[in-house]
Amino acid sequence: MTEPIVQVSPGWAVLAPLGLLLFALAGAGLNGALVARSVGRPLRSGARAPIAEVARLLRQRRQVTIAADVLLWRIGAGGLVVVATLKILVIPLGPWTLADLDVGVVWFNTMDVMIWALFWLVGWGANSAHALVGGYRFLSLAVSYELPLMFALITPAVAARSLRVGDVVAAQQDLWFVIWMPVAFLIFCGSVIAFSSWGPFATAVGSDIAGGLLTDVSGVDRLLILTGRYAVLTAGAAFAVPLFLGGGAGPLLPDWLWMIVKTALVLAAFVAIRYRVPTIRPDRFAEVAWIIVLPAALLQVLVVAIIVMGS
Amino acid sequence: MGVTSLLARWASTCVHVLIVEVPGWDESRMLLEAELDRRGWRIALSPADADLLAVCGMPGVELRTASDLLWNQLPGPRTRVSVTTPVTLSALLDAAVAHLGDDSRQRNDAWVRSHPVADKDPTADAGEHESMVHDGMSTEDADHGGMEHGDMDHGGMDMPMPGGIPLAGGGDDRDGLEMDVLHVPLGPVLPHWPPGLVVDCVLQGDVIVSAEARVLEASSPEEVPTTAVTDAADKRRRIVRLCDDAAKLLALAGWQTAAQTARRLRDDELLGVDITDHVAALDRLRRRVERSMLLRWSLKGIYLGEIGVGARADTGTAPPENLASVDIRHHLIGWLREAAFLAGTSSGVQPPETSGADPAREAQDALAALPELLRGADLGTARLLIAGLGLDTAALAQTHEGTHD
Amino acid sequence: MLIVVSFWVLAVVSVASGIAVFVVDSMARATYALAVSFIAVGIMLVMVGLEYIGIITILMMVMEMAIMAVYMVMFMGMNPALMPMDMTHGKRWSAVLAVGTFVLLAAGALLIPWPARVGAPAVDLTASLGEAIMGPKMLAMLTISPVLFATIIAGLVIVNPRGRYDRWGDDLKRRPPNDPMRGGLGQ
Repeated sequence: MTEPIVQVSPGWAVLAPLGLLLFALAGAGLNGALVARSVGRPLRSGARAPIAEVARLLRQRRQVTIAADVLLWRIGAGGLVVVATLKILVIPLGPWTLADLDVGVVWFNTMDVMIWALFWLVGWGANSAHALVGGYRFLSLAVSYELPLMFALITPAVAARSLRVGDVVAAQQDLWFVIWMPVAFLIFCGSVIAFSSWGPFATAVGSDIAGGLLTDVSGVDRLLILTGRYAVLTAGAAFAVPLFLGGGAGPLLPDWLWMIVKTALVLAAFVAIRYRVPTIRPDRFAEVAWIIVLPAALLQVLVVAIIVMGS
Repeated sequence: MGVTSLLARWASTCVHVLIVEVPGWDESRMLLEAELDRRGWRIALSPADADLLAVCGMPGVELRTASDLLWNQLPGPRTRVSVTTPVTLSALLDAAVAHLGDDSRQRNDAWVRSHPVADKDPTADAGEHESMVHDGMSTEDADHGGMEHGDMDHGGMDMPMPGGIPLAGGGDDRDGLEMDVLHVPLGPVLPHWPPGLVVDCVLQGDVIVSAEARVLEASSPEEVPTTAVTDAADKRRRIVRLCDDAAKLLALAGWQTAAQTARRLRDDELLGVDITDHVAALDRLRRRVERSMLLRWSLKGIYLGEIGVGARADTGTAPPENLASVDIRHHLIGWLREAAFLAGTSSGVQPPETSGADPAREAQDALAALPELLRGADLGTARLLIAGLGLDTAALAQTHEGTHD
Repeated sequence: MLIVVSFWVLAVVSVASGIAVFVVDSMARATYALAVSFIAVGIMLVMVGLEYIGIITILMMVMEMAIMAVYMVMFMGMNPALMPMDMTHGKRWSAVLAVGTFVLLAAGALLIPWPARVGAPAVDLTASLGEAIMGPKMLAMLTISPVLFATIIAGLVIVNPRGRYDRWGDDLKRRPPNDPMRGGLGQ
């Protein structure tokens, strides 16, 4: 029932960052509403909080620290939104996509590895002890989640026998991948939360290091980093849909609308989990990632490969 | 201009506040936090995040210098308030918002800061900052204040000092690597931190090699507003303190919803709201904390040893040999259990665990044990340990025995 | 036309950032200048039609540069990242060698009579490239990767100054092990 994916002209690429930022704003609004509810304020005021935050940060002056590596700092701060935009280029909205790459799955993986560099550059650029600790905490977390993420990304590609996102969507016509690859789906969701430095994996920006990466950034830089976090989280949520949740498949509504609805649901789940779970410490997480999560990911790929070979 | 005033109006609905708490003025701080929650404002984690600097109490000399340094680090637009009595709190904050929105004043402030007229520029003098008290986030201080400069260049450069700060020296660290030795003072203003505490650490990487702790005092400890010394008020203060300590530890562990619940219970208790269902709420929170596997896993193996165990731990009847096996999570659960117990008793009956414990003595012991406790711990664990101690810096400041090596 | 222009731009970028690795003062900047150079090469590979290999090159190289930042601080401290540091040794000989190698390779690239193309490129360039390089030895190549990984891990384990007996006691029975930082599973 899904139509084949066609690549639209590059002129439409202007809409990509706009759509991404709108979604990110919606996610931030949901976050604000949840925070408002927890302190007993009306939900609507919380949903308006991101706009207030944007206004506040636009008015704020930029912080400069002594001997800061300004070039690397600004690159790290500004790069997050760029990376998020690049990520969604391969995600199909219904039958349309901006870049019909043959290796769309690997493209997504490449872009989220860029985030390693960007977060470290933000931590490094500030020339401040807490920021640097935050940057290195992110790297230690990244080393733990990256291999399971790679295997979780390969699993749908194995089942679809192709790295092209359109083929992965087409291969889910009978049964969505989330049903017979739940481990890969869970690992993917956990990794999206981890590379956005979000919720249980927000150790790099934790309050025990006075905000970590965000300690010394203010003004436009802070706005770019916070927007970038939401944008990357949204891009990850959006990619989960064609990869595991059947793309645009669904009754009644057109494909592209289903894409948006499913992305919104996944993003809402990610935002809701942010404050409800204690932060995971990267030094403890390393053993769990390598001893439990990675073998689970490998087993999942093995099971899927056997099923695919058998059919 | 229309856009500027619109931005200012929107920005004023969510002000970020950096709170400087003076030891002994914790009730002011808690009332301020409750007011911030009511307005939907946020608490800033660092000066770069803050628009408003709120000093709760009357600081002593060193603490005032520290808050001035923080004031310097606030990017504009900025304003500051001093919170000493709870009565005028709302009006103070409203005036602060008006000041923030006053664009001409803020522009003037920004211009004055960019063109310092004094010849002592506070951002360039590294040596002077060695003796000043400052918080660990400031990069104007000796972030790289080492003993000798690193001898690693072959280019013949003599005493390189990027930004006027000497480079760090090297030293063998815990794992056998040769890492830079960094002198970083933690405090006196950090999120979820005992007020007025300064821990001067020697860091290698993020591992604390050695530490020294001291407490900065209030301006005159006798001026601390004392509540009436009745049993009921005493009990109420104790419950408030326990909830506050629990909220801090939970927030440091990253569990925001549980920390928020503890904070609300604290605020309800502080404001004297009807507490008939407080016992049930505290018990619910305690059970939630007990049930959380993730929290148990996160906090496992962080032991406080014999410090602070006797009075408040969950295992009040354990023989001394088992004290070392009590970890921070048990402390946390013990606090919540004690708070529930106190909220449930109608008379001023003291629970058996706290009898005979002098708060000043306990705080003194805890401060004395801090350097040894922090040795070899990484920053995150160190913050959890300090929060787990539940240091009562107000009691320390009042006895005028602030410094300890 | 666009391809030619972008090829030359990318070539200049990758050489310039390669030079920047040795010219800039800070180790952090040197690391990421190297990353930029590799990214330029990766994009060039994508332009040639080898999409998978180009994108994988970018992925691996950026990840490596991020890991290099860890090693940089582990073994060199922060100082080389902050102050002008001359990291080159044996300048004269290495310059001679470098220039000589460049001249040799450039001469080869320009002067060798490359054969004209016969036929059309394969539909799946990556698969045909893989078969051309590895051919009948594909299975051996597949098993080499886990063997390499195991070698790296084994090397690290051997180098670690603290062995089993330090961690688990003389009878290998102490649980949890005696580590400076407690692991997540008590292993």
